[in-house]
Amino acid sequence: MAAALVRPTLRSLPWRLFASGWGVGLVMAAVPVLFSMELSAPVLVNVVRAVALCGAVGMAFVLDDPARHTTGVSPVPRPLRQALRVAVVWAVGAAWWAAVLAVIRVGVEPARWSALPSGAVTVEAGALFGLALALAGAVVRFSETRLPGPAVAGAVLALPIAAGALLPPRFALFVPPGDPRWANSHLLWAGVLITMFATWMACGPEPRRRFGGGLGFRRGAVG
Amino acid sequence: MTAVTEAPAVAPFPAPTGDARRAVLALARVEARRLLLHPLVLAALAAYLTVLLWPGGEPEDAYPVLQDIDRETQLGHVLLGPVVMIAANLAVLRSHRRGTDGHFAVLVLPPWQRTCAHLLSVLPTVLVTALIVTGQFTAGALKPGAVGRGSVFELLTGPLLILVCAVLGVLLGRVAGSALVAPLAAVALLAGTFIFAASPEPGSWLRSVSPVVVDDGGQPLPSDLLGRPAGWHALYLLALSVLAAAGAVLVSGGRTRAVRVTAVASLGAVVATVVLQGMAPSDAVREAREVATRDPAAVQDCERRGATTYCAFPEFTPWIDEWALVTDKARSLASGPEATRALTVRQKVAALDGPSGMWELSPAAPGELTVSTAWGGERELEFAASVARGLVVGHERYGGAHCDARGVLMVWLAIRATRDGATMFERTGDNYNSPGVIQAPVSAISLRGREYAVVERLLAEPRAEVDRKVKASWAELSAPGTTTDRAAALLGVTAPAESADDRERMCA
Repeated sequence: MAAALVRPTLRSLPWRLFASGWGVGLVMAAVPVLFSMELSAPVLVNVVRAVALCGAVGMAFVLDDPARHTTGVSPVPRPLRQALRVAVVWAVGAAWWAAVLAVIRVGVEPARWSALPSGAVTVEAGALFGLALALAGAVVRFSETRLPGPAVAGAVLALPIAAGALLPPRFALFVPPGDPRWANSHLLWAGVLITMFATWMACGPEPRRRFGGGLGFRRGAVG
Repeated sequence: MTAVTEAPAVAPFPAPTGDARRAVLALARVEARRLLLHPLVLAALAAYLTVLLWPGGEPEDAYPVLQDIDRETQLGHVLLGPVVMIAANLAVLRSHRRGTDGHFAVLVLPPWQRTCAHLLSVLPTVLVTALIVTGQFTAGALKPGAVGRGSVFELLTGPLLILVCAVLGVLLGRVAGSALVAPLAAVALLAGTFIFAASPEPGSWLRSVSPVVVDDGGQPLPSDLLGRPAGWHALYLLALSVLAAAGAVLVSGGRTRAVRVTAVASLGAVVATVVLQGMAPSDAVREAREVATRDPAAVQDCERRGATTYCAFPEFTPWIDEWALVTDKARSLASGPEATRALTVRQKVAALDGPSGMWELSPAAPGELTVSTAWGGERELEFAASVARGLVVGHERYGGAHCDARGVLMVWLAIRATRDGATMFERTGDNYNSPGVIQAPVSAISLRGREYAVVERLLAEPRAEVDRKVKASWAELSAPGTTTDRAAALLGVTAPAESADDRERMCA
């Protein structure tokens, strides 16, 4: 059944939105190459983080389903439908992420590249994408909104920035490479990644009881 | 013959201008309220205020340099701005998302006037941030330890950033009917400000077009040496907002002559202000920086207190009382001719590269010692170390770690002459990850593990006892040849054996 659903899923996803997020991210990753900037490893890591944020903003729209009020009654359970969407988008997203790292690599001399921990920044990116997914899943689960994307995109941006500005140094997430807290902060990132996935999965099933009121046109979570 | 009834063509009936203006204002009021109460904006403002009002903070915060803290109001606004941009964008796109665009055709206001209302609706939010900035700066300026002079333009930059971002949010909403665009623009803005524009050298065009001109890391400078084009930058942000606003009105169909003229004029202003910002700092500022760095005496005010003369840049003279407390305390702990030796405390800056320059200060002339342009907390310990060095060694050249009695004496004296000295000593060791080193102005005073251990043991002894012993054997402790072992014996503690690390250190 899942195989049969792949094509309709592919067709119904808002590809233009993902593509614009990915596109802006790629452009940002290409800035150091295009302007031949000599950026240090901490600055490069921040570039990669900004790129990941672009991808995450695009990812916020992954559960947007304008026909939500009709798909609620289909025999295919929502977790399966959502998982299919996520699998398709994340597969393409992974290719994009590889391209981003490749572009960054072009602009950096080999010595600097080896100082850039690509595995760790990939975990960070995964956690940011996971955040988008979890928020979208939660909005879908706890409201009747058809399009959680716009609100989630704002929150996906606001939360990491708030975390960067507000978290005490001991629990800092955005740590420059070479910092003694690097390993600990990446344990934290991995924790965030796992928590976000768990949250999304917990929010997957349809609620037993429908929320009262009309569908779709009610005020969303964030107007 | 059947009567042919022709439906009369209904020309759109323009609302009287007075009514249109009232409608625009009414819509602006509603949207302003919604924008200010938008969950994202409310949460961001709450988070910002929490950070501002969070108790605690560094001891340096009690001695703000106003020409620096006016700038500190800006970075928070770079984070608030994107949030307001997204919220304003969502407000413009609300009808699009809810599918009510079509209904608006029957309402009084044409789209471009709705855009005007959205543009006006951002003003109360801007006003709120202006109030926050005012409060933030006033709180700093009212502190008894505050010195210097803030700049209105630096303070205006924060609220203007919010204005630019909000207006850009409206413009993006009119250009692209997708809620994705504003968040992406926000990421691009943040990346541009914090990553790309923060790194290049001063004066590059990238710095001039960046929403905030970041100058970080250096020591505070007297306000006339800053050379930041704050006025032009504020004007640049204002022109940018007007340009984006005119663009939004043009895009939504308000193609009147006034709007076109505004758009062209503001575009000209944007270009002009970018160019003018690039021309800073002026030659006069460069010259003043040169003088302040190479020959500070020419521009400083001096004040004599007992055997010590304090020379500071005019804006920093209120701190002389604080410096005198430390110097007098250090002198009271010393004995012999050093206790009353005439000294000049001279404030120094390394201003050649402007406020973010990382130049080293040059060593002071004989009989002089250096004080920096920051005060409070560890800075007090650093000045105390500078005083102790002036009393014991008498020069500021770095020659390596102090591996003798004088090292122990200087660091002990610095700690005792500072408020909360032991805590500050520990903290400065943690902060620079180098226990036993005090980052005194010009050159650090560093101890090896061995001398550090002696100082630690001295601090654990009863204070009055140690004070008495130091006074009694001051002459021997401050003599160049006295060993650490001898110092420890004189002061009634034991020195640990020399470790392998200790032997590798270069000694002064």
